[in-house]
Amino acid sequence: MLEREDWLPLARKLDWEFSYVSAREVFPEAVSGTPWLEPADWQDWDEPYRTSFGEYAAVQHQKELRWGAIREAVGRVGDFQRLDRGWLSAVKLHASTFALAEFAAVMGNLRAARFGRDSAWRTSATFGALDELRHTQIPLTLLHDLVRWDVQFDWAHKLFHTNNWVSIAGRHLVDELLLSADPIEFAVATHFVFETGFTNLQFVGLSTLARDAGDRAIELMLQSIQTDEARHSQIGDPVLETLLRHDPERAQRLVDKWFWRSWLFFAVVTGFAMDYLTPLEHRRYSFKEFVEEWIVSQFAEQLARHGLALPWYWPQFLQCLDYYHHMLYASAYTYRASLWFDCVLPGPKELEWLRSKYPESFGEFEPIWRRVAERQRQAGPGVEWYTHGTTPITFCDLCQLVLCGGTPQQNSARTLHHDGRRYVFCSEPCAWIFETEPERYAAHKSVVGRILAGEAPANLLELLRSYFGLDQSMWGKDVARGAYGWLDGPAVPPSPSEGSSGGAPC
Amino acid sequence: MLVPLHGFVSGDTVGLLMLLHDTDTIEHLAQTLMAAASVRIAPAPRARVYRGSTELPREQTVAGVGLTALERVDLVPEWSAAGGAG
Repeated sequence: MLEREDWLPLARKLDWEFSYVSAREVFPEAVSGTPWLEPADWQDWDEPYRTSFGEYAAVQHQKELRWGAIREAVGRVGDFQRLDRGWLSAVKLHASTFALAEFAAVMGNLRAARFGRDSAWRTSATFGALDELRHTQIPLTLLHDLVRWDVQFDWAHKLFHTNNWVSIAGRHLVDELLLSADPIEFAVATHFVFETGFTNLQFVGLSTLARDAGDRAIELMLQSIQTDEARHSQIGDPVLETLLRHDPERAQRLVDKWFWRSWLFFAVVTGFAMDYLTPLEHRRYSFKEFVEEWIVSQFAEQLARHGLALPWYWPQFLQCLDYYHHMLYASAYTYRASLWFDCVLPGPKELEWLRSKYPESFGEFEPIWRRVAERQRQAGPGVEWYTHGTTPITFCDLCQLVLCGGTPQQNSARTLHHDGRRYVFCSEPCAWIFETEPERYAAHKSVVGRILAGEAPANLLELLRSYFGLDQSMWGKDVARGAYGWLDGPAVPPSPSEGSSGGAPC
Repeated sequence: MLVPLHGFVSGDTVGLLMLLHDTDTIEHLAQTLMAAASVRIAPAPRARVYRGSTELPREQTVAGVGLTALERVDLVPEWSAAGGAG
């Protein structure tokens, strides 16, 4: 009987020379990716896990058994009912943005399982597709039981089927990253940038927070998923290495593009969870500190190891660490009815913590939070609308997220004329991505474009109800319904630049 | 004719969609934008409106200053001087 080392290379490396068709016909460039290289250029493709199907099935079976036991032990409705409501919002945000995106990643992996240029790559991509199917099913099965208790959990499955603005932004990202990218771009963008660089923020960082928040089910779910991610993310390195040998300019451009797009996604999902939704007593690190460790330090080292430069907008990215998710969260809180999870109004202790973690920027946000808190104090518990915006907000024509770039003093939005139409972008990198491939993005309409085209209502309430798929039973509210003990004290006098707070609500 | 604009208030966190008539004045634009941001930013006694680095005269109309659909306008609240809003 053959030893593993003897038969495994034969099982993984099953490429052969075609005699009836050409390699170009089997792997057309339009589907297999650019640049199209000769088969010999891919023959050294390899990744460190070198798993056989039998080994994969055995390991995954054990993981599933463990996960089933965990779900039985700590994944029941009662286990979640004991958790902090703010933390549960972090869970809702995570599950809704990841579960069906993981399903899109099944398709991205399957495209590589057919059109990846090396057989070992195709084998790994097959396992990757099975992984991602698992990552779709685990959160959906876990949270489905909670829907009867809290209808917002329904959005774990529902979000991507709606025209909610976060869904439009999510689909814009996922459609390009996972559904339409060729295997080369998919490998660089998803495996190298998104999974190697950024998912640690969510699957390691959020897992740590889940443990501290007493949420064993989410902690162990994230850890189980991360073990898969760590394996199939290894597809990225050898694809990137081959691309770098033949087209380093394209490699750098793909990294620059997908780093920015990934960063925006994680700033929303992880940034909100770490700095606002997790109860203060369970926070150990700020979002910025996590990004500095996992991205600024570790991922930057990986870029250097491959001979890649830091993305051209690196100084702007570093500035964003102090601002972007704070800009977004303050905006989201005051438009929370456009979301499907509840938001936390940061009180004096939370503001003090944020000030200590963001000493150079958070002073610019404190007047905003004092203003909102004072309005909530005047309105009293149970009144949502007095701390809620009524004017539609505007969206970036690339990332489809709200225009929250830059700083409170200088929003970084910029407009651009292209082919007779005016576009707006939240940032220079988003404008750069658009200008690099306008034919890829120009036809897409943001929420504002849909309003102006008569496809979506301009009235905010109608927009929420008939277009975003929300109603009062499920849309986002203040997590405490405005009943914070710290609001019972005297009003905080506004600074001169904060002015008077206006009249009390009717 | 309605003119949609991207409005930004200095000190605020997000762009706002302003739907104005081309006959509306810049004064009206300022008041509308300040009211739209008032959940987060207290209305100032006075404010300046800019297109790029050019300040727009408050008595002129949207059409008069040549603002067209989906342009960016910025409002800078002023806290020290007295006067009408916007």
